[in-house]
Amino acid sequence: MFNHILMGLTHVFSLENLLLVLAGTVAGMIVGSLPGLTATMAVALLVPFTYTMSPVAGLVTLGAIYMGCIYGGCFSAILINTPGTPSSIGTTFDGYPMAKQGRGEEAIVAATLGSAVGGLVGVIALIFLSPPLAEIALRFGPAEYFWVGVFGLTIISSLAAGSFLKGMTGAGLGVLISTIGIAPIGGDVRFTFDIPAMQGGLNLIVMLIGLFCVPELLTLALNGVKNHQALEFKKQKGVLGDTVRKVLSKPGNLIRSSIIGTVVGILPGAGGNIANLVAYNEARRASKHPEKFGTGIVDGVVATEAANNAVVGGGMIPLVTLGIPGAPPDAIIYGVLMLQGLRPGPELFTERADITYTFMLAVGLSAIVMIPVGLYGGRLLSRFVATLSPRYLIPGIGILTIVGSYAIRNNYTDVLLMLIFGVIGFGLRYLGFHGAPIVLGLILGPIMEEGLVQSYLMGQGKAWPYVTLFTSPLSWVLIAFCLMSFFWPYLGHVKRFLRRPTGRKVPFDPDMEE
Amino acid sequence: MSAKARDLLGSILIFIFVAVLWSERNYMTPFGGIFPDVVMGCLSLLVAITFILSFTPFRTIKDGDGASAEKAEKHWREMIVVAVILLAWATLLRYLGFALTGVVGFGSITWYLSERRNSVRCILSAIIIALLMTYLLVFVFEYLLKVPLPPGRIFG
Repeated sequence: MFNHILMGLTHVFSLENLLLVLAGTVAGMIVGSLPGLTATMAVALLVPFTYTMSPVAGLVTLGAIYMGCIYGGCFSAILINTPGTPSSIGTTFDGYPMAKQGRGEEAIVAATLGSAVGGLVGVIALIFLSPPLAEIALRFGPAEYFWVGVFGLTIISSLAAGSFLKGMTGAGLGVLISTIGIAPIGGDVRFTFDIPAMQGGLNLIVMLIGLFCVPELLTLALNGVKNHQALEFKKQKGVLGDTVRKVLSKPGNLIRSSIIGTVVGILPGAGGNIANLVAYNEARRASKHPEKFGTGIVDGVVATEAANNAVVGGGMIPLVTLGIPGAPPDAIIYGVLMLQGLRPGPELFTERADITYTFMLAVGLSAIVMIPVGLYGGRLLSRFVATLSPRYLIPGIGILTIVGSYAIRNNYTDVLLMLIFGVIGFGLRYLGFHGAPIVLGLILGPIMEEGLVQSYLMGQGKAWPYVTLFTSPLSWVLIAFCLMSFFWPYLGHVKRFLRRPTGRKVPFDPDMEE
Repeated sequence: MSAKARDLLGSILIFIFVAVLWSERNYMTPFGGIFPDVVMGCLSLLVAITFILSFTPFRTIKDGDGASAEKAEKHWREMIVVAVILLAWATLLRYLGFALTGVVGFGSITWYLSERRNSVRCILSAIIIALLMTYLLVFVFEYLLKVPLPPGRIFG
């Protein structure tokens, strides 16, 4: 492994990759700082810039964009009280009050340091946890892959969607859409409605651009064209050093929040939007002065920013080892890996180790690059956020979605399909079905189908062919995980139900809103 | 639209989608249908539960975006116009190519979303920014990154 790391380091520090990391980080920060644009959307919008790059260059750029985007969200959270990405929601709680008190620079320095440390912790976990996990994945057969898929669906449905029922329905919808085209085993042409363009199935990146970018674009139009008013912040002497000392004097908060971010990232489908709030809550619980949270305290900003950037590395762990995206932006990176002919799994750590380690180290380098770029370019970025009107942003997103969906296969039908799926995605979002479970369903569908049908074929000589799904101990471990994630949302309700004071009984339903 | 109405509509639409795919089942091998049939069965069950719950007097099913979306002021006309322009843009792309549809599509959305649509300054700024943005992308993709953009049948 250390040989691969050394090799990766030599690749990362080539002039080309250094420039790509810098450009990707800056581009990500710009898109991430624009309120209403998510990190997933940023990665999807900027994907076409990597189509003709080599696999290494493309992945290095995307990794840097993702890291920069998550960090960029803190600028609008701190200066205009609107999170640039959902991952920075918690940053508004203390960041904006700090900016209002004239401590904007302090908040930005704290956010930058938190983001950098969180990003690095996530990447360290990625580098050191992925190879052993990939070795475990080597023992996986079709049955285990099937159960991994089921586990991914149950966990995202309970974590990412708010409603388990709607999350599962969205995931099921994604899985069903993934069956359109040629079957992976048997070669059946299914559900194509005799349209030749659909025989090869629906292109994953086209679907991702449609489901993640178009609904955001339409929501921006729906919310109306209004400019944001950013609070100004002035550079003050000594603030940088004082804030760095203040942040580093409480390493517990930094490390705890980074670990929370990494762990949440590893859970399929759960991203920075969950991690930053969990970390904020834990920082408040652990603090000696919890009452100060929400009034403009550095610890709150550090906790949320360290957690959301740690998600970047953490989310890539299941992606590179099992092919399951940890967070929604990882789904786009999964699509790009497939586009570049790189199949996530143990192979990435053996035959393609040079690419994999370069990619992972570049994401870490991006976390370091954020420090000078953020500290010196932050003021410029805040002005940009305040002046860019949605009347330019909306067609700007539109034009990039068209370029991105066309350029994959030079196919006009893909552009139309992207827009149609985008409009459907907007409708589903309005009806309460989120995009993340649908996308995970799209990715996990083929993995689950191959696992199920291959297990069925292996069990042909047995009385019940599906028995092979239940024969290995690893399968049972995964089944236990599936059951745990399936029943987890119900446990809290059962506990509350049991603790209720006696009186009128209210019908129990875990999906019902409080 | 109320939360229960959204649940009802969502379940009906997804059920229609499943029914349409179910009607298209004509598998050639015994393996082609194993997985999709199971998925369609499970999905039907899930939408049936959602459908039934939408008629019950219990509290509504959680849905993050939809519920909060209703509170703020909405600009449905703007949203529909943007969606229509985008669809027209994508349809005409095949015939007119990226360079022309890009300017028209970008410019028309920018102009439509302006506060003072009738002012000459607004029209001019929409055209200039559309030209700059489109040709910047043409330069970056076609010449720097060598990514081909739609040429269009008429001008290609």
